[in-house]
Amino acid sequence: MVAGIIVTHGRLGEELIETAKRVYGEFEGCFAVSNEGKSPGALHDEIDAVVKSLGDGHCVVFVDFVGGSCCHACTRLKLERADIPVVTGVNLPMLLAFLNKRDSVPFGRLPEEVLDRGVGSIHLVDPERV
Amino acid sequence: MPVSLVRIDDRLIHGQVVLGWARVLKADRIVVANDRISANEWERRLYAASVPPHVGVTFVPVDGAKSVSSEGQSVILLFESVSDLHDAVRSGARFEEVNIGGLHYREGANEVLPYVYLSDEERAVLKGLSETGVRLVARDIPGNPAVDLSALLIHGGARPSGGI
Repeated sequence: MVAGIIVTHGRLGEELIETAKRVYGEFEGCFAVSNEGKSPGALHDEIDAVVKSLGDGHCVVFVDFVGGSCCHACTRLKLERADIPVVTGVNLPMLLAFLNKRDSVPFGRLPEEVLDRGVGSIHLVDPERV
Repeated sequence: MPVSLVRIDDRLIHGQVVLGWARVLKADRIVVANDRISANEWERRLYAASVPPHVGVTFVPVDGAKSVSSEGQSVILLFESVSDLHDAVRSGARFEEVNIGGLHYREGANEVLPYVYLSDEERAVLKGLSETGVRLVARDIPGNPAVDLSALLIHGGARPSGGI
C-alpha cells in the first residue's frame, strides 16, 4: 500500500484524514504532520521519521500551500529524496482520489492522477450547468 | 530611514511573514540577513519561492544588515536567530525595536511564550540589547497581542530557566 503523509498548518492534516474516513470508510497508511510549535529542524525531523518508518514502501507527500514552512520542509525533503512525490494544495477530493487509486494506479502515474482530481474538483458552481 | 519591521524568526520567510506582516505593512521588500542562505544559490531560491511576485526579496550576510535601509520603501528585515541579531549589532547595525516572532523548542531552550523558547545565552544577549534601549516585542502575527519581552526578561516575569 502506498502511504500518504499530509503536512499542514494547525490540525488540517489530521482533520482531512478524519473527514475522509467519514466519506471513504476506515483506512490506514495516512499520517498527518503539523508544523504547530515546531522549528524548521524539528518539522523536518518529524517528516523524516515518518518516511523512515515506511522502510522501502512508497509514499506521496501532500502539503497545504506553497510558501509556508510546511512546503519549505517538504521541498528540502524532495532535495534529499527525489523519489518521493510532493503535491501542494491538498484538499479533500485529492485525498479521496489518493485513497481510491493508490492500490490500482502504478506509482509512477499516481501523483499526477491525484493532482488532476484535486485541481479538477475546483469550480465556480453554476446551477445552469449541473 | 529605519526599516518597517526587524524580526527574529527561525522559519525566516513563511506564511506568518508573507500573509501576516507583509500584507499589513504593505511591504515592498523582504531582506533576509543570513550567512548560510546568502552564500547558497539553492537556499536563496527556496526562500525566494515563498515571496509573492509584488514583494522584492534580497539576501545579505549578517554583517550586511547594518547597510539595509528602507529608502522610502516598506522593508522587513529578518534574522534566523538571536545570535545572528547579536552579530549584526556587534557589526554596527542599530535597531530601535525588534520583533521576536518565532524561536521554537530546541535542546537547552526554555519556554517564554508558546512560540518563543530561549536558552540562557539568548536571554543574556536579549537582556543586554534591551538595556542598551532596544525594545523587544514578541508577536507572532499582527492580529495577536504584543508582549513586552524586555520587561519579561529584565523583571524576571519569564519562567525561570531549567524549571517549570
